[in-house]
Amino acid sequence: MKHTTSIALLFVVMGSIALSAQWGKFTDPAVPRDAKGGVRMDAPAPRTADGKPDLSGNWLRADRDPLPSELAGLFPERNRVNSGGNVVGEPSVAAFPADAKSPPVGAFWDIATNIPSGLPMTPWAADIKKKRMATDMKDNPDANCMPMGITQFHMQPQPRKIVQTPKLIVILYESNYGQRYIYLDGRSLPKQGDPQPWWYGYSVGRWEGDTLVVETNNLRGAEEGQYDGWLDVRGTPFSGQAKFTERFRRPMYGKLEIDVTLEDAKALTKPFTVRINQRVMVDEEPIEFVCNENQQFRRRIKVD
Amino acid sequence: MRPSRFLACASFVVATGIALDAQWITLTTPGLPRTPDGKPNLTAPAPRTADGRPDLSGLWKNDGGDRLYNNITADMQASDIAPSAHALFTSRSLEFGKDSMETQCLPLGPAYLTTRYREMRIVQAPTLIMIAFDDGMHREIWMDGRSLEKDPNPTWMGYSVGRWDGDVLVVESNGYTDRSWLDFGGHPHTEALRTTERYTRRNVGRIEVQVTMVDTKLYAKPIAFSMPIKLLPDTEMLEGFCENHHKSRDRMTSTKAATVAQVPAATLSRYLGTYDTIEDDGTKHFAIVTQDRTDLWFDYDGKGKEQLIALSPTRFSWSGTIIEFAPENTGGIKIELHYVEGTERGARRK
Repeated sequence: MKHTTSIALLFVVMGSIALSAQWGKFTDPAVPRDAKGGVRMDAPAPRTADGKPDLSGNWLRADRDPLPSELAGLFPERNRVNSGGNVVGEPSVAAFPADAKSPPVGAFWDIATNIPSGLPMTPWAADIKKKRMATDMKDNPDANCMPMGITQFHMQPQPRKIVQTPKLIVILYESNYGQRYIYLDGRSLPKQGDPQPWWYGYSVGRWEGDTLVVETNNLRGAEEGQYDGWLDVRGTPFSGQAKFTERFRRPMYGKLEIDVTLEDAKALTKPFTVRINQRVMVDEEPIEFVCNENQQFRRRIKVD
Repeated sequence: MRPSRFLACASFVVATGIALDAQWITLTTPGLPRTPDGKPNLTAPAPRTADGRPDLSGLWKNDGGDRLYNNITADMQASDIAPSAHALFTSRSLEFGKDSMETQCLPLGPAYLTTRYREMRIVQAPTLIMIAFDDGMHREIWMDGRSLEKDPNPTWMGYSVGRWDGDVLVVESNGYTDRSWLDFGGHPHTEALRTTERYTRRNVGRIEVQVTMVDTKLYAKPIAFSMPIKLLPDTEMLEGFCENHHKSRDRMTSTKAATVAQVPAATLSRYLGTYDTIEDDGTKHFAIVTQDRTDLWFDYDGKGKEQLIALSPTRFSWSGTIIEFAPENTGGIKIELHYVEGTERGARRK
């Protein structure tokens, strides 16, 4: 049992140790710096030519989760916390001070870890999660080189890059070479059930003041297949009826807050919201991560 | 019909075949100039960004046919190709792409520049131009003044920096892993490969890109060609993901590579001429067979010459499509083109 979860985790570790830059050191002149060259994380967020907050840049998830019970004892060195407050073995990303007004912070392993009452799952969803955990989450799309879903992409330790243009915002994820498009060109969200359900769904954004509000629907839910509808590593599912609303804010230069709300009448008895904090990553770039290169995961765990 | 890429395409289509419906079904691409009847005006002047540069943003697809994707050296002299590169191309061609990037769900690397089997989205931001492909891969072209690394860690998509030369975007790239092939046929390259692309947006509907590939370790002269790129209006990119590709590969392990036949030049010369062919559904085509050195070349529908590889004195591989010549007692020659989907038949013009 633990053997499988450890392999699944290796994918995460492989990604996170590879942060050595492929480009040589390049100092971005647009980054606000102090006299010693350090990044002024609390400088004002930059703005685009049209006056909107500019979310462009490379981002690392700022929150770090404790190791889940399945992995207790397997990676003792990962339980150690260094002087920066980070779990050893993951990128050095300091957490932001706690925000009393924040929704519960989402967790990569189990998204509901910080929701005191747990996730309001329907019996349908609870059963799927139970079955996925019983098979050591071997079908996690992350481990199978597939698009891993909005929340796993947001919380993966590997960095992501936001490219913002007036009519289109792209999020490129280092993990599994994910790429997501958010349209701001005036098109409307397709009617639920109209288009082909998609791994990334269909995302339309709009600005509400300085907040980018992104709505996404027509996703491939857990009904579609074994790799579909995963919210987290433990396999908390969402259904094809899911609608995600993400609210992106850049309150200062170094911080991106994403509040993710999921409405899903088939999987949840009521909507829930979690926050995902990101810290800017400057002077280095995500690396190329071609998951299908020498993919041995399913053979090693003897699934195929 | 020209489904020569039957093997690799099959694996890609199987993975994506369920997804061929439009994604935004009633989408009218916002911002496109239109004619009075509402159709996209593809010959309108190219749009520009706020800073006055040509704006290459949009959904695009190569429009140059298969010829260079099958064989990137189609227009080169044999003497400019290292024997080792030619031998690898021949042996890979005979395996019909079994080990190609497409079959293994791997990035195409420099072959994205010639394939017409991928859609691409160009996103132009002030300091970065991104080109994303419908198989999930993307390139980043840095416009922030950085230089190419001298000795970068090799990658599938390479490292690219760009600059504007008037209205032409000039992109220079290096750092490609030598695991990728230059074409579907299998011409190799080394890690010394450098590419230069010059993008000119002619109008709303068209980009012309001049490509130069330099890899002097295997190719004595630069590989240079022009690739037209067409805009895809009023649609969205259909993304595809390869699932369980190793199952596909496992099923191919019984594929036995054919061997190259040494056919006397005098035998080859009997097949020269122009052929008229017809598909099962009645679609008509023509092909011109010529000879150069010890090889036959095949120009299908006037799209340019492609090399045939002899499997026997009468059977030849045209990048996986089997072409069979059948001389008749009357002096005529019949021809059959065997695709996975069926056979196209014809005869040489008298």
